[in-house]
Amino acid sequence: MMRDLLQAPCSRSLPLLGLIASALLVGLGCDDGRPARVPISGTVTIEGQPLKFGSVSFVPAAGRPAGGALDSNGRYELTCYEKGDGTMAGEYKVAVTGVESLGEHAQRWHAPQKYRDAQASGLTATVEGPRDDLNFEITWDGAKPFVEKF
Amino acid sequence: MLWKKGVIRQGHRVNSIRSTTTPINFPSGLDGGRGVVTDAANVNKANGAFSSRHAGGAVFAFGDAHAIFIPESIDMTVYRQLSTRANGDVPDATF
Repeated sequence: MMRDLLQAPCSRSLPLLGLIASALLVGLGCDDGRPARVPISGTVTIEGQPLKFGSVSFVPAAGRPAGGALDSNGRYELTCYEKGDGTMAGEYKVAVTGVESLGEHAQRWHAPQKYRDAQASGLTATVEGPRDDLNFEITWDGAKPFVEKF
Repeated sequence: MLWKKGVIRQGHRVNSIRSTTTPINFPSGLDGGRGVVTDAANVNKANGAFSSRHAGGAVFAFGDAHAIFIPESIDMTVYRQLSTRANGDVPDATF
């Protein structure tokens, strides 16, 4: 009886273990057991000037996105699983969230808010190999930087 | 939804608050591409990713008391749907 009680949970978890094992096996192709990535970096400019605040996100049709912060030169470097590892080859929709923190109750937008949504930004990227010049040029389209309070 | 905001405000609990904004096991201290969960001074750069020391994912406990291992390759739409009931979201994919 005691033996049954002890064993029951184990036998129930066997299918789950199988699932986990197969999940880990899928997508082998790199030393770390994860899909192969290529380094990707570039510059985001708005009205021709570096976008110095915010971040960039590469969103695939399905699966794990990659992202990176913008620095004071408007440059980003993608991280997917490990710092600076880039992302997998493929097609991406790209989001640019150009916000600067102004403390707990406000942030300044240095780029139009529509770009924060990869589905609405109109920005795309094709990743085939390593790139350090995967640049994006966006515009205010007549609008101006503004402060959002909350 | 919470993850659509560029920055999530949460006082000083930079090491405790988590969201499905950023992928599972995303390296700490880095921006996952949708802003950071940050303190007011924007110093800690916590990205709020759920993380674990398990290779390839993390074990999540759900409100109905079941727990599953979710791989870090999970589709982000499904992952985010799991964390909200907004819009009647029902994850329609396996992971």
